[in-house]
Amino acid sequence: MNRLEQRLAELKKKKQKALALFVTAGDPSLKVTEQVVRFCDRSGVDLIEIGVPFSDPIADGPVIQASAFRALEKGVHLKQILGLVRRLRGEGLQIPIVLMSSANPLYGTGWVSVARDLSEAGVDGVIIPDLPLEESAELRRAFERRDLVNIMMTTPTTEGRRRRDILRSSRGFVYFVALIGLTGDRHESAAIISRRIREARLTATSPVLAGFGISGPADARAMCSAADGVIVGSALVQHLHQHSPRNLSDRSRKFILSLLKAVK
Amino acid sequence: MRSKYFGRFGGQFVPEILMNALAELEASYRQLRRDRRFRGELEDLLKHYAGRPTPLFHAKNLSRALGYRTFLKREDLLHTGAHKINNTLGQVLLARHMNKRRIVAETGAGQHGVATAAAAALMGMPCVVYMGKVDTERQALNVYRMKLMGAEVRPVTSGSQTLKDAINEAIRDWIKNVRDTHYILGSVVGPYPYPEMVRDFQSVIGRETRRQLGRTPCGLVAACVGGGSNAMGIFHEFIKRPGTKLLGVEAAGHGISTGKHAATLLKGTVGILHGAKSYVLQDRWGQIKPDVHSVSAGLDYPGVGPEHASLKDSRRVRYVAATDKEALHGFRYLSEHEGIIPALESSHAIGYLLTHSRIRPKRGACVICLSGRGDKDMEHASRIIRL
Repeated sequence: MNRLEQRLAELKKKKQKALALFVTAGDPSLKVTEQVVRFCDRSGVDLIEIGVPFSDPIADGPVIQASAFRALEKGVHLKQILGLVRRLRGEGLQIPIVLMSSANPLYGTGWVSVARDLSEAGVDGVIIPDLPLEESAELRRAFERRDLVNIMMTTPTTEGRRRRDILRSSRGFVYFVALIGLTGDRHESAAIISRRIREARLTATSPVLAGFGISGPADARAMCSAADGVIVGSALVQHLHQHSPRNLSDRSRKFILSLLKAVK
Repeated sequence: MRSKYFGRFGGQFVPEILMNALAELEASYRQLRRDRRFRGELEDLLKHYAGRPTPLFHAKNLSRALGYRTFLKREDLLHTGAHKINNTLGQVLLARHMNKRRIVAETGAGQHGVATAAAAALMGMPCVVYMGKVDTERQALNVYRMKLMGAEVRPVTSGSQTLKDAINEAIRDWIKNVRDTHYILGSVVGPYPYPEMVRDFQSVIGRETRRQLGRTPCGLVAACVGGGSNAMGIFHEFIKRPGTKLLGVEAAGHGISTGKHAATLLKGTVGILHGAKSYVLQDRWGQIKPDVHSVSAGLDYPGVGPEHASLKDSRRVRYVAATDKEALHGFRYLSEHEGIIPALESSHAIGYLLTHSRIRPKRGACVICLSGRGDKDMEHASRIIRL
C-alpha cells in the first residue's frame, strides 16, 4: 500500500472525508507552491495534487489553463517539480503527493522511465486527464511495479462496462468529474450527480472523490454527503493568484482551513 | 474491434467526458459509410454543390521544366477554394444523422473554417469557428467570408494564438456542449476516428485521380503535408500500389535546421497532442514549440496526422521539406507558366519538385495534388513578391 492509499484507508476507518487540493506548480511561484504544500501537510489536508504546466492542455478549464501559462512563462517544468518533491521528502514531509498532468509533459521517454523518476522523487501517483482507461495499460503496468497509483476519472455519463472497469482499476481513489450540465436537465443535475457518486462507490474498489466546480466550503460540504471526499482546484488556484502573489498569505491559509473545516 | 492505431501512432488521448462522444461518432460513421442513402446524398453534394469530379490537368509547361509528364489534381477548383469541402460536407451530413444541432470547428488559414461555414449554412446549422487571433489578422478575408455565411468566428487568445490553440479551444467547446454539438475537425489529426474518417472523406481525391489517369501508369504522387489531409486523400488509393512513389512535402520555413519551420515528420519526436500519439515539434520538457513557422498559414502546425507518422516509419511514403523560398518559387512558376495561382500550401509540393530533380517517377506520370487556390494568399504574397 502506498502513502496515499494508506491515508485514505485511515480516513475510512475513522469515517472521515478526504480533502484534496490542487495547485499549479510555479504559479504564482515555486516558492508559493512549496509553502502551500508545507501548510497543507501541517494543517491536515489529505492530498496535494501538483499540476504540471503544459502548453496545450485540452482537459483544463480557463482558470487552470491561464495558471499553467503563467507558470510556463517562468520556465517551470517537470524536473524542477520533481526536485521540489525530492527535497521536501528529504525533510520528512508526509502528505501524499500526486502529479496532475496532461499526457505529453510526462510521457517523454515512455512510462517506464517516468515511473522510475516519480518514484525516486517521492511522488505517490498521477492523474492524467487525457489518458483514458484504454490508453493506460502500459502506464499501469509500469506504475504497479513502483507502487505508484494511477488515479482515473469517471463522469456522470460514463456507462456500462467501461464505467465498471474504470471504477475497479483506478488505484488510490476514483476521480469523479462532478460537472453540472452533462446529464441534461440543469435543475436536476445536482441530485443526479449525487446519485451517480453513490452508485460509483458501490462498484469502486477505492474511495470516490468528487472534483470540478467546487468553489468553496459550501460546495465542498454539500459534495461530501455523497462522496468520500472532494478535490478543490480552480478555486484555490484563483485564490493564490489573487491573494498570494509572493508568499502564502493569511487569507489563503484561512481559505484552506475553511475548506478543511467544511469537509472534516 | 478495429484498431484505433496506425502502427504505434494514433489512439484516443482525450478526457473521459469525450469518450462517449467518440464512441458514438465511430458507431454512426461505421453505419453510415455503408448506407446507400447517405452515400448518395454525399455524392450528390460533392458533384452539384462542391463541383466534383475535379479535373486532372496535364500541365505541359511544368512537365517540360520537370522533365517528366506531370498532372495537377485540381482540388483548387472546388467550391470554397480547397479540398477541405470534401470533408466538411461528409461530416455535416454525419452530424445531422446523429441529431447534433450545432457545429464547432477550428481553422488555421481559414480554408477549413470557410468550408465548414458553407456546409453548416447549407444544412441550416449554427456554426462556431475557433481561430487563433494571429490568424484572424493574417486571414481577415476568410474571417469575413465565414461571417457572411453566418458562422460565428471566435478569436483564440491563448498560447501562440494560431491553429494549435484553435484546436484546443474547439475541443474545450466540444467538451462543454458534447450533447448537442458535433466537432468538425479539418485534418487527419485528433483522436480516433477522426484521422480515419477525414482520410476516407478525402480519399475521393485519389480514387478520381486513378480513374482519370486511365491506362497511364502513375509513378509518383506528391502532396504538401501540414496536418496531412490532402496528402492522405490522394495517397490512400495508391498505398497498396508499389509502383507508385509517394512524396509528402512538409514546410521547411526558413530551413529545417533553423528552428523556424513546421517539418514535424522530419524534425519532430513522438508525443501526444490533440488526442493522438504522433510526431510532434516539442522541447525536451514536452512543451509544444511555439515558434513553428511557414510562409503558408495552413502548414503552420506542430503536429501531423498519425497515419503519416506510421507511413514514415514503414517508409511507404518519403517525407521531405520545402523552404519558404522553394515554395514561393513554385507559387510563381505555376502562376507564370500555367496561369494557375496555387495556394502557398500546395506550392510546397511544386516548389520541391522544381528544385530537387533527383526525385522523379521511374515510369509513368507524376501527379501533384493542387489542394487549394491562391486567392486567399494574394495580400500576403503581394507583400513578399514585388512585381
